[in-house]
Amino acid sequence: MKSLDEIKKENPFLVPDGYFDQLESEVMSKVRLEQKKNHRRRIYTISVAAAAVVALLVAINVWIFLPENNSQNTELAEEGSNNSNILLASGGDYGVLSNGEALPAVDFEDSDLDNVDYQILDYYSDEMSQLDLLY
Amino acid sequence: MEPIKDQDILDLFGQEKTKEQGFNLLVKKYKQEIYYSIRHLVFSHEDANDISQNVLIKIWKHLDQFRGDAGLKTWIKKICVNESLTFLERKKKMLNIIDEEGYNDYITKTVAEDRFLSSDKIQQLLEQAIQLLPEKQRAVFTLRYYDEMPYEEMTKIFGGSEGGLKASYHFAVQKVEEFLSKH
Repeated sequence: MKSLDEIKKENPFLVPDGYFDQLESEVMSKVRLEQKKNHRRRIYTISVAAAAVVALLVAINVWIFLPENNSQNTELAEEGSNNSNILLASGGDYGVLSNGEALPAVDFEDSDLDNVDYQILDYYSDEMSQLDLLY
Repeated sequence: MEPIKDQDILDLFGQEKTKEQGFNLLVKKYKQEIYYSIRHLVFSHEDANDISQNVLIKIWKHLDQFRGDAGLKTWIKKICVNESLTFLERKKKMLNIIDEEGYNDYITKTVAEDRFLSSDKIQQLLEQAIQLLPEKQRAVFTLRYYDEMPYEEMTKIFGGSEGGLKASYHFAVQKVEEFLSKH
């Protein structure tokens, strides 16, 4: 029997010229490609997450505000219909008080217009012109 | 040039900006060791090349999970052994070799025809004997014989006890010597 100790311990394998440099560059380029893929994947994930957050915020806003608006609208609508009911209840006769008495008729004469306080009118017209400036 | 320290590799790899630089150092330091430990198991240069690339990409993907329980070299060798054994299992199924005689013929032919093997007849015979060992025993034998890996370190790769690994190596040596004496 031949003993292993009698055989010189050496590496029996050969490789093509420049093989290990080639192995290194091939692996490094694969790694760079992998990194690019990961980077793209990360950007895609972030974009999807951001879109999901925006969608969630929009959904929350709709959920919070839309029903309230609806209820406000409903309240306003109800109020409006009550007012029209009052008007309808009054029979559309604006010259009648609730106790049934007729309102006294107002007679305007040309002479009444002579008594108009023009100072007040001037004042209002000044105020209005200032307000106009604001808008 | 100063030898590359494992800790430097791990420190560089641990930071996003220097990750690639750290890995490049690892490739420089371990590429030959990775290749030859795989080649001892799978024999052909083409297969060893494919597996070496896969192993290095696996290391790139999983080095951040390296906990340091074993040394970096042992961790790398474990990946090499696992990848090679998986490859050999698949190859055996693919070749559809069912009997031992058929496998022996295949190995003898492969070794004789290999372009990238030493022209030394004794070395060729030794390699043939090694390739005829069962896969796991071949892994134990090559790590012990060529790399002179301590049994304690080998338990981190194969599991089990040091005694079991010693016995496995002893049987492998017996088989190799028996083959050499017959040829």
